[in-house]
Amino acid sequence: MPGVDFAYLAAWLLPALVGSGVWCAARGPARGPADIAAAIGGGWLVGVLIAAGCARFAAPADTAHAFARAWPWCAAIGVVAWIGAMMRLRGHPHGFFARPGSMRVALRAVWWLLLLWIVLRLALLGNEASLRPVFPWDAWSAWAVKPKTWFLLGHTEPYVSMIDWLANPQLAARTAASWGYPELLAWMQLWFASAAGAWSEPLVDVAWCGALAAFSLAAYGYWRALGLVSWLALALIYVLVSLPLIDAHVALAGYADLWLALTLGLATLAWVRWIVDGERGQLALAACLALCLPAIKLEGTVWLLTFLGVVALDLLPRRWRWPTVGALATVTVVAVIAGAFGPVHVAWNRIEIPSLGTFTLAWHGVGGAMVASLFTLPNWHLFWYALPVLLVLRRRRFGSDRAARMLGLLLLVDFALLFVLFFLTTASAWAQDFTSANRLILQLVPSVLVLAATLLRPLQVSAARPGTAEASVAPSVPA
Amino acid sequence: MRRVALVLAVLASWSILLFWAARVEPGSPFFAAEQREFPGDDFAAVFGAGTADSDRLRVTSASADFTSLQSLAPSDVDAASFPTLRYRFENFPRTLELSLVFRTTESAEDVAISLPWPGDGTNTFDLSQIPEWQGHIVEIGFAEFPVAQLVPPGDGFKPFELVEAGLWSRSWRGDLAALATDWLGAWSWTQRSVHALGRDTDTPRARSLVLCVAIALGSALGWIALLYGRRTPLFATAGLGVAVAAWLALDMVWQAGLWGRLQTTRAVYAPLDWTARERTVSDTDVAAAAEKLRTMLRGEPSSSRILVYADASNGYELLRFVWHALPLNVALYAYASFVGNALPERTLIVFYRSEAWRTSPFWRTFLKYSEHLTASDSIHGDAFENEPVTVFRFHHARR
Repeated sequence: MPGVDFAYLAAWLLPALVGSGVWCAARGPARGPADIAAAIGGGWLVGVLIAAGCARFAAPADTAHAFARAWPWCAAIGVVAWIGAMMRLRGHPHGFFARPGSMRVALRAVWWLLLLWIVLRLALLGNEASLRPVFPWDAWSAWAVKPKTWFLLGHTEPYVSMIDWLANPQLAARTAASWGYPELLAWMQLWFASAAGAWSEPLVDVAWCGALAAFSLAAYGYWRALGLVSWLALALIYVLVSLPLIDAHVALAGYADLWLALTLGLATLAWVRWIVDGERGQLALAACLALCLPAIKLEGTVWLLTFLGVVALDLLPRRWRWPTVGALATVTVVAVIAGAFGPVHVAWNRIEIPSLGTFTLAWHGVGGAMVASLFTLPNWHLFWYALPVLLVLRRRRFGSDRAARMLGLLLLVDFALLFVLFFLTTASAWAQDFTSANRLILQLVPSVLVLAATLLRPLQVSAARPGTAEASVAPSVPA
Repeated sequence: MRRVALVLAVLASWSILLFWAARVEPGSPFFAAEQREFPGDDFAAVFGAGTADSDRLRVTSASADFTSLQSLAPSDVDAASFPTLRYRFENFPRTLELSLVFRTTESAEDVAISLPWPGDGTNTFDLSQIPEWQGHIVEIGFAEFPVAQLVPPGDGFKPFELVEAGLWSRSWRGDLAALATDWLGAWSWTQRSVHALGRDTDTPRARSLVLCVAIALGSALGWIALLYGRRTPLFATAGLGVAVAAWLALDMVWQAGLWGRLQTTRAVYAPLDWTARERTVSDTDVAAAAEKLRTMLRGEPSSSRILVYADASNGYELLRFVWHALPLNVALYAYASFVGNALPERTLIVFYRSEAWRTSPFWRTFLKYSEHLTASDSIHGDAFENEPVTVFRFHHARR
């Protein structure tokens, strides 16, 4: 009988312990109490991905006991990580427990009210998710098919295409429309289900709420470390948590978009921190998180490529950047002509991507539907009204702040790709019928908020980072 | 003086905006000139049972298919003259959805329009946005059924009272009340909610609350800029304040909607333990059919290929059936049909709520040599036509 027992609680706590160890090992010198939030929140998300990975390798033959099989491996990673973290903490006597700064009484009241409202919202969403079996269409027809099957079978069987499934009837294999979907999320679901002792969708799906809460905690820590004052950092968290479509994905848990969005968001948080503070561990963390994106959802490959591309561009000395971009563009054009994109066939007016389909390039007038999605339907409150205002007000930051510029470039490229997808390919139908368009945009929203925080942070000019000819900026000490 | 001017200008702008959002016709009166009121006991229970109880209709049970309908035949109601619907229920359960149903002389077909959950207060709905609301109204009523795909049919109905309904001619009051119901009304989750909120229902909706709040915010900032200048501290402070208030207002409305949705979920699932929550689904009949299939095939090796066929109209149910049938090695026949007769020998073909195996010449030929399995341990037979699942083991040739 499933239930909230010790194993299930351990399935929630262990990722936080392991992930926070990894986060601390990746962290540079302590900056203040905000690091506790970043370590626990970011650590939980990282830890869940590690736990899913451990389950993948330790439990394919015994999926019903994935937690029991995987937790020792997970814990071992945690122990190693914490040893590394302790070694890095030595010499920094303040550790995590530096004194918090003071706030004016009115702002403190605002801070507490915001926190209360955020907690209330998360509690409400978590309650909704933890009550009913999986509800939204793709959640049960695609994302939960593999974990449910594997759990009830007691072992994994590969998912193959319909052709292979029919061609090899003696092969222990399965098929589904989602056979080619990545499986990291399936293993995460198996982690929680096996800890609960049964395939219990309410107990699995509440992890979506955990993910949003964890990201919120992490973002608060990161943004405080960037120099944002407490109330502003919490206000940005409130903005994220209050967005109706984000809330819908938590309450009606089961889609992968939220996990993709939060993982990409955490990667951008770590990347920005590396740009600002030069903590190499954060760059490694960002890279690891970005590498997980394709394992969560197919679009993750696109976000990974753009992320790595912009990070690599940032790492290049300035004089090499434009020649590199030019060379890459030339190589792309030559590859299109030569048809050398491997399984992806790119032609001038057509892109064929296995598992995703063929996209014919032509103009599709979906502006009305996109405007409705972003500006009139109750999906995003005033988010897409406020963002252009912020970008205009803080436009000079793109010139003076490398972090804002590079993150802005990343999001510009990502949104340009979405523009091409919706306005120039047959995927415009997803915008026209109000299905996938909003979900793809959702995948970038946490990163957009990271950009907003970067634009709002106070700046101090500091020394140039080695390897760049440009002065970087560092945050003021948190208030 | 400027402050007074600012307040007046902002209030005037917002009032105009509100009237635009509510589609108020300037020439219409504030109060409806014509009102047709229908006390609850004027309605008769068409499906389900109800009793008149001091001017109201107490609906005590649903029909066998879990729906209930109360209607009346109004005399001399011209749709164009009465574009505003007023209605009030009491004790309306969270687990039911409400629809307005009407018939006109122009069309023999019933028209059903989803309405927001009514709560205990009076609600108003703008009928002028419904294309079918034209001609002479011969019957009007309310239908209730368990919230689709969320509430198990058997758990949906609880007694409630239809207190009153009414039809009003066009008025400012009616239009503004309809706007309030639209903006603040409680809707249930639907399959579309993870894609785009606000598109969860096909009911014609009022102008967007988000757009109106954005315009209200913009107009307030515009007036502040005009009267005080853009580069003054007041512009920044007031601008931020109004923006925060606007966001909070939208979020309060959303929070109320979330709360209402949670109450629907809690009404069904909160009393249940974890095991029962997992098993309590809205499509109980589909789950039962899948369970039956699992029982039938319990002796099959897990590698046995199972293809499920359903008639075209059963798409959602078919996918749900496949989901409930897991961990059977099951897939949709539609995706395998391209191989035609080259299906692997001994593939199991399941007909879900379909008689095609009996009625379709294609299927009769296709299954010519196949073995018809029955619920009772694979004994040959061709009874059980009324079973939700019919299973064949595919053979290419006579064995």
